[in-house]
Amino acid sequence: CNKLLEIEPHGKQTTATFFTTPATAKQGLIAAYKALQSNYRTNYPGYVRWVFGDVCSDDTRANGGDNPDMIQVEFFTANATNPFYENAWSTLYQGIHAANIVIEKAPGVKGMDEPTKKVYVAEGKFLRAYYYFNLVQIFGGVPLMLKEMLTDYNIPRNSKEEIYRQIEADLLDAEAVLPEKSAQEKSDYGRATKGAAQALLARVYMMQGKFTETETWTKKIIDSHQYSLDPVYYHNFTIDGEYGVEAIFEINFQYDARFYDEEGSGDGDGRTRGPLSYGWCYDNPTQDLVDAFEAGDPRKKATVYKTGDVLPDGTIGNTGTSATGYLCTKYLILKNEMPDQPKSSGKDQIVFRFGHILLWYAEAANENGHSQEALQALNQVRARAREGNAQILPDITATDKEKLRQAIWQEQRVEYATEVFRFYDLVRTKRAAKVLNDFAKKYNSQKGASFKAGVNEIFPIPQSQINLSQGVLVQNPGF
Amino acid sequence: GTGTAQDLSHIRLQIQLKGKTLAAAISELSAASKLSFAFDKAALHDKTVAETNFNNVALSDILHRLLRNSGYRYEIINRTVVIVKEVKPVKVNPGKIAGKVTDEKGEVLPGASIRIPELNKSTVSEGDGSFSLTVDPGVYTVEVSFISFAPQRILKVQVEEGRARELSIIMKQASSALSEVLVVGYGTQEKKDITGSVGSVAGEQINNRTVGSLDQALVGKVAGLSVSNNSGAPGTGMMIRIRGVGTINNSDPLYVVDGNPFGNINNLDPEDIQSVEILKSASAAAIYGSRGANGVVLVTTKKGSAGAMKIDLHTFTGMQQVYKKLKLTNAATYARYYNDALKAGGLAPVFDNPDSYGQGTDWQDAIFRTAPVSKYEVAFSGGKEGSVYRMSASYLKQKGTVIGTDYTKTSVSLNSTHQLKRWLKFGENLNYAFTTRNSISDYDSDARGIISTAIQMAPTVPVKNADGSYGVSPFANTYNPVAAVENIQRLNKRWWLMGSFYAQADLLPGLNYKSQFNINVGNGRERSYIPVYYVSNSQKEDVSSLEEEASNGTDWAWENTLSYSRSFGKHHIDGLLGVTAQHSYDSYIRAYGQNLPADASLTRSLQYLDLASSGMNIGGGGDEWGMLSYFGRLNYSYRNTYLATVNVRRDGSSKFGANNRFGTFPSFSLGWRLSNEPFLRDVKFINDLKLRGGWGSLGNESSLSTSATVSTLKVNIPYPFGRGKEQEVLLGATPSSIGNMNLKWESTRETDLGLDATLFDNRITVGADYYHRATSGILVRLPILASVGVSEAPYVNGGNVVNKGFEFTLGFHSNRKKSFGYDISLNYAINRNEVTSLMNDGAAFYAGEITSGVRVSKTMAGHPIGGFFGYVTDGIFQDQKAVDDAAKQPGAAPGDIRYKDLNGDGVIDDKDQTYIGSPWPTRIYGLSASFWYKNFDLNLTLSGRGGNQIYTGWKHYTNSSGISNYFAPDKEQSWTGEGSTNKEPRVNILDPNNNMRPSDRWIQNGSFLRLNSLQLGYSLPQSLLKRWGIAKVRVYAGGENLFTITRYDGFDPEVGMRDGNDGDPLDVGIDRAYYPRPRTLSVGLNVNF
Repeated sequence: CNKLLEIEPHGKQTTATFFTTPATAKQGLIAAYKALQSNYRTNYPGYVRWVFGDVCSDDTRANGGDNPDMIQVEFFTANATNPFYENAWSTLYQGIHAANIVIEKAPGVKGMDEPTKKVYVAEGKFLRAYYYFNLVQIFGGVPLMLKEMLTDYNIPRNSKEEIYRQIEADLLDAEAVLPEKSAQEKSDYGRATKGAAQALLARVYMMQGKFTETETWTKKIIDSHQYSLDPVYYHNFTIDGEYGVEAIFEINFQYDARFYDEEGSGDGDGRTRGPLSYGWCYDNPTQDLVDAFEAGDPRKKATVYKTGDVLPDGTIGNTGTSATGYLCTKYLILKNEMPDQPKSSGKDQIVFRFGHILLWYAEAANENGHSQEALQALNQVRARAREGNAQILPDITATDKEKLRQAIWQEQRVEYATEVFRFYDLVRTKRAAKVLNDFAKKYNSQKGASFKAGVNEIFPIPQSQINLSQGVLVQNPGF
Repeated sequence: GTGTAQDLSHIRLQIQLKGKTLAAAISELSAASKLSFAFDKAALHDKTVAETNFNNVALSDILHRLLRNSGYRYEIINRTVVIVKEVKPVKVNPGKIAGKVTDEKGEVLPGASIRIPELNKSTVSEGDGSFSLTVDPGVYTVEVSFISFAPQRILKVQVEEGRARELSIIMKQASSALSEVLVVGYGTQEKKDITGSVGSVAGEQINNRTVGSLDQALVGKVAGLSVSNNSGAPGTGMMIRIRGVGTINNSDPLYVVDGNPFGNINNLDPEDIQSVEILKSASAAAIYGSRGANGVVLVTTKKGSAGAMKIDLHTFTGMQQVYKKLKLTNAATYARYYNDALKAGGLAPVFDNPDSYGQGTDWQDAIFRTAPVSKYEVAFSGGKEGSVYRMSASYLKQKGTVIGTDYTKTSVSLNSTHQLKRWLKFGENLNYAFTTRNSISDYDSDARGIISTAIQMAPTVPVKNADGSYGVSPFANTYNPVAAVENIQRLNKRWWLMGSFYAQADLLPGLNYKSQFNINVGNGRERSYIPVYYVSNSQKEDVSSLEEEASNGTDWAWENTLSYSRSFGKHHIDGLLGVTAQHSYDSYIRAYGQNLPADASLTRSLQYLDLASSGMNIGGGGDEWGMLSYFGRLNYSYRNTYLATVNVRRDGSSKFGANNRFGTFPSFSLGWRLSNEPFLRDVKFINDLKLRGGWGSLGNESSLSTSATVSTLKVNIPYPFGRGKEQEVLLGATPSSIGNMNLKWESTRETDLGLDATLFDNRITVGADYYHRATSGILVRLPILASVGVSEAPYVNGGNVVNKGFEFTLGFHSNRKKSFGYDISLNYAINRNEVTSLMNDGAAFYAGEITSGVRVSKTMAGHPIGGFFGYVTDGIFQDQKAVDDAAKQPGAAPGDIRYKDLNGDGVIDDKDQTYIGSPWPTRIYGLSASFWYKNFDLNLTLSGRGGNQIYTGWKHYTNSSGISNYFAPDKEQSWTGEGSTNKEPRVNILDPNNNMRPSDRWIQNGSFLRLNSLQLGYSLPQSLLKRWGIAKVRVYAGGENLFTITRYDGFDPEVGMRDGNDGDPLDVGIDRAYYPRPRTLSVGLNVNF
């Protein structure tokens, strides 16, 4: 009789032996990275990273004819039930949960050496910081969860500052332990490094306007000599260029037929941002972005293309149903990158590369009064962009702080366009309302018209979470 | 003597017996043979021997000769030769009991069993209904029984010597009155003695229907039984709900087929059904305890009866058609509206000359077709007294009314019963069904379903271009539905074997033991083949692929019951004790591969995964659970007038943690047959009148996951490390669910009050019920805060739901003997459903996704389960002033819909949404009627419902201002300027006001009245058939789903659940243009030998 009633669940592994051996610990670590890839997706991987980072800015349009939710986010008219907010919130917390498990359980794993345990914990802290940084950028202060499986989880939001303090502490811990890129096995590329932690820390300080720290940490990266600019700009955005000299941190993608239907296995961005024959034509660069490139800047072709353009692989571009007539060259699946299943691509997404660091260093140095250092870094980026053509992109010489600031901001826009920083750069430099409202006027567009200063710099907390908390979570003002 | 008598012929004697008396002679023989003899000396003294001398004659012969004509004979008993008096039979002429068995209509009943208990003698009626039993003169009881007729007992039948006593036996249909015997859990009970609420459908109301499955035949038959169409695709099941919907989870009732609790009713051939009983009240269903919370459907299949073999043939053939098409715009009108919508959005029109497009393509015509259906059935039955059998086989072949769909079902059934000893019986029921189904994606949620695509597709696009290529919509991401059907091959094959074996023993008078073992084995195979094809950039496959899934399951249940029945004077008790063990196991393996040989699309013989050359992908899983239950029932009646029933069932399920594994569910009910009381006995028009009431508690765990109590991992989470193309995908794992060890049984408590009456010489039957059914501790995955970080919400006992209602039934039955007659039964049920609380009030359950992320169903306290949720419209803004005066509504302009500012904060936002309708009917009614006149019969079923709303999800395709076709009646009423209309908004491709948002604009009244079936039959006269030895030939013509009276403008107001019975139970009543149920017209033939 007992046999009849004592039946273990089938096809399910229970948590009983999880994260107790080196093998299961590795599984837990891999899962903690997973949330990078399914980064606040709605339907497909990487879907929303660029909706917040680029579509909400003046750089790209959603298009997405059959995705009104995305357009509402783009127009800042979405309400708190919009699935993009819901998914961003829940996916990031899933990543935090997986990272918390690594941090909490790695020290107790039997049969694992101490240095490995320490690196595991450091990776967990890096990931946790990364996820919280995304949360704080999108939503402002959020509940700070630092343990796995909390029993008392309905807690109010912590302040933005408390979240940032935790992020900084985690990153400082991680940076001290993680290996340099040069010390990393090739097969481990994709795991956090010291450089990745330093880059994230620099960006975290920068978002808070802490330019002294930003300068310090970007300088550390430069001085580490682990990274240099790839002489060919576009090479960074090819599969061949993954983890090249410039790469600091990437979200890895690899096509694998076993996981064709699995979120994020091999889709990269080709599927969503590609033209109709491979994808759905989302994230369409605006004319405003196209016009932002200086005459002859080769980065323009490496960033946007229109129908009829010759693409980097020699094929002719077709932008299908793009709302603007442009698509992103950086996310194109090149002919030699096409896997067996042509709707997928194994192309990584760049999170940090050395080009970003130089421009952040330039900005921080200028803010801190070190205009020569700023100019040097800025012109290093422009020099590479020139790719040997002396006729274009002359060196910047302005030393006036404001002029130089504008030049650096401009350079940031074109150097890392469509790399998911633009909206946050606008917010951090307090230009978002002006730029977006101006965009609406200039192009007679609904895009940007509804942006309200002091409200739309962050997005609403998902309504479902407010409901579930029975009022413990309080909505951001203005929503 | 001292010897022993064995074989007297071996003993030879020489003896002289002259002048001796018989007594003396035998004494001498004893002495001479040394055998012991026993005899009555006194009696034999009087007789002298006739023969005197025997010379070496065998003793046996000597005795024969001595005793000849003496009135005595000998026997050897215990080695003694006993001289016994010979009893000569009295010479009398035997008599006969003969007669004919007919039903009330006068039709002969062959195979009826006739028994004379005093003589333990029995026979069965012949093909013409006649029977004859030779008996000695005397006074006897004659018992006549025949399945589905009330058994008869004729007392004091006097048989005189040499005479035949003629009896004319008219059997009454069991379903004509309260004396009906109903199948209840683990037994049968006379309807007059039942104290719970039980609905019943006799087999004859189900047989001969031209439907593919049993569930369709139940529509409109029982008060409180709601049967809704999930899809009209051939071979798909219906949604059955009893007395509303009790839980947020799946509310399917328990189906028990011939005592087999894993019954699959769609396996059965409707022709094989003897009766269907619906245990509605908790007190009736309580014996099924945990499995009966949503009601129990007991199906009894036909059994053989003793007598000559009978053969029943039935066949029908018919045509099916979609009975209604949506009124969509033609190409010219479409092009004009589309241009207008573009212009209103500030964009350039795309159709230069709209009128030149003319009628264009009717995409509904392109996918719908007239489809044949036919069915062939044969059944053999018969047996001898004590051993009967029935075998049947059927074959159904049906094409769907949408291209690319068809269905076949082959089923074979066998049952037999064998009386091994007078006290021991055993038998079996076997049913095997094999189905094949080609399907299309009629449920598909992403608007890529064939039907939803067809109603969206621009009529300006041809199905195929002149060059043979498929037509492609230039703007839309809409597929060409014909191309989709023609390119995707999806085949589902399934077989399912239901078997039960039982032995039944009468241990002592009144005490009966039954053991039944049920086993069901099912096997499914699904295959999808997608070839390389190109229709357009968005509708193409560059790589062919094949996916196969093989699933199999085995369920068994072993049920042992001990029942006792006894009368003590005016008291009568029936007791039942039982124990049941149940176990279920299923598993599946799925495999996927790409790049099949190029000609695989043409020949199925190449559609095998061995031929796939890349993209291999596999998966598999399984599930297992067990349940152990103890139960008991006691029925008591006093004077047949005061009735009481008590049930207790204790269930243990493997799905719960050790602490809460068992739940105990009691029930009791009382009945009072007023018609037996002195004060009503003389009221002539009341034949029977009973009041009954009860209370019962039932458990439920059917929708609980088998892993609900343990925390589980999500495994095989892929993430690659490495560089470039050498990246290796590694597999991670993380906790994804939180187990809840404290889960308890979901329980339903129901109070039921009812009345049953039979009036006016059994011509009128009346039934009424009131019930209050409260389900508490609903097992549900309660959404938890996402910040916990697990992806799957834990199960909790999370809420309460109340259903309450009234049910009425009314029947009119004419005298069956007359040449004209009728049987009419009406049922009417009222139900209210309300979620009374949810564990976390904020945690409403959202369901019913209409477009990405937009959900229109919200289950919340104070409203029905799965209620619709959205904005409330308030007419159309006629001018700018109206826009300015109203609450702030972003994007609004004249011509847009004004929404009500429900919270009065001056802004229209998501807080202005509210409950806007219920998918559940508050009234369901039905009418079944049969009429006959001489050899003609007419049968019909009407059904209807009201009080429910339908969310017209399909209008998100046909009323959007964007890419799709338009629903003509609505578009014609669009706002074109001040005062033009207050109903339909302006057309604008950008829809800046979001007029498409969920609102009461999309809610429609779901009431309807439908003629479900109508059949006119003619039976050939008996006189004609007699010479052929055929009992009956009936031809008929009829139809299913003949007409529907409704104001609903979609395909069909009968909207069930999305994705069929495996779908989300909260996604109900949302019409996404599902596969419409066809109208079927058919002709059929019954032949009974």
